[in-house]
Amino acid sequence: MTDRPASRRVLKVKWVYKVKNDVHENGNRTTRHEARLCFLGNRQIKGLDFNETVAPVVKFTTIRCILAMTVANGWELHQMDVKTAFLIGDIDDEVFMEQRDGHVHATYPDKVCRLLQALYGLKQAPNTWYAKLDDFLKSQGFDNIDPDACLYLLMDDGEIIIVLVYVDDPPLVASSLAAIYKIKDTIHERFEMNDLGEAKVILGPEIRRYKALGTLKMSQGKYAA
Amino acid sequence: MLEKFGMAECNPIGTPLEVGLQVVKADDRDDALPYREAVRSLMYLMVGTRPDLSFAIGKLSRFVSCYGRENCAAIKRVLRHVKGSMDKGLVFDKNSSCVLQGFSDADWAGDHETRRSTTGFTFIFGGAAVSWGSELQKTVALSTIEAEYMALCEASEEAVWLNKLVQSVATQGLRTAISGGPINIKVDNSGCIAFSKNPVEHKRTKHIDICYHFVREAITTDKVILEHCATDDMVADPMTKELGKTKHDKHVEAMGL
Repeated sequence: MTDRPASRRVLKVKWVYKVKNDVHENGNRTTRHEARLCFLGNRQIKGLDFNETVAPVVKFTTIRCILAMTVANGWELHQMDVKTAFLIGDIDDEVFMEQRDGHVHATYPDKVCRLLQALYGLKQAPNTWYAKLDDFLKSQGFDNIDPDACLYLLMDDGEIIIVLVYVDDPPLVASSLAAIYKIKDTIHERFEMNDLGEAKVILGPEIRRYKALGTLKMSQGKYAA
Repeated sequence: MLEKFGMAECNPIGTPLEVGLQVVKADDRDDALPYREAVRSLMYLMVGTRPDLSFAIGKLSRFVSCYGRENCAAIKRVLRHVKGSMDKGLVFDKNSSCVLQGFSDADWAGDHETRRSTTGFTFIFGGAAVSWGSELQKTVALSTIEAEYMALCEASEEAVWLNKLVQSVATQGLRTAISGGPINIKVDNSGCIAFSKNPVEHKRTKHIDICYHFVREAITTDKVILEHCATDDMVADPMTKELGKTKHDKHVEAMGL
């Protein structure tokens, strides 16, 4: 909370509600109600409220190459999903927000909030999340290889571990199951995440692996229908 | 996607485009089908897992600001083709070759409006295509050699990048480890191969722009190596022109679909 800045715009937030219908593997259906506090990023002014907004994602070609290698070398391919990734990033720019309706401070109703962490809708949210993940992976010894900024590689005791960064659900590839569990634990310690097990979907396309045959099929049948 | 465009119950068809199809800019817009949305949706499919659609989408996406009845009919045909090939996808196979194999091809003056040619290339790795492209060339090619040479330039650029990517992950003892040698690219035009290797300037080639000589440099620095293949075995053929069903299916299968 801070005093209202004299020459700066103070932006608002709004709640965005969503009903999510999940179909589980066993055929059960559940309905989840999601409420997200969204920042009205459309009112942000470049140079004042934000500067850098770029957040790279992994190339399709890179993914296909890694899939080819995964199959050829019999590696493991898993998937996870970081919870509320866009709330994690730190904000360096000065961005001000009005107090939320219904949550106005009793003593200081005229003060405004200065954002220290990202919010959904904030222009720099993807960028700050990417920076956070990049820092973390590098601190764990991963190398960011030159041909694709989103391919992180770690050689650990003869094991190869690859993290492909695609916003908040990075596919993980490793030369053994043990290595997969190890990297999952490492990431889990730092970020809250869902373990999705063996990858079934990677950035849209469905993945079906037939380990006995040594084949993997990447298709978009559901999307095409 | 098909449902979205009201094509869920359409009759499937064997190839994405009719052989010899010429589409031109239309004066009257036909809004029977949301053309742009259809191009966009198909493009996502093509970029993800469907190299067989790349020529069709490349061609039809040139008309997003001037589409008419013919263009809509063409895009409908692509949707009908998708209907008949929904379960298609890239199949990577452990038992396939783990060496990157490139194919580079070009048609000649295929675009009747500008008489420019089309570049097509694809790279096969581990049994399926990992990279592909189909693009109208930036300038007019005066001969097939020239068109193929320009296509080869793009293919070489991609080869250099792919090689770097694969090398950076491959360590010793892996099946996918490459000796660091050049990437093999197959070309079906022997004149083009000769011209790439032998820097002789003559009447028909002296005007070719410097940027395309990237190919020569890539060869002399051992980044790519060219090999001739028969037109019938040119996997990148469907990226440069409309083919009949037999040929189309054959090449598409070679791409691991």
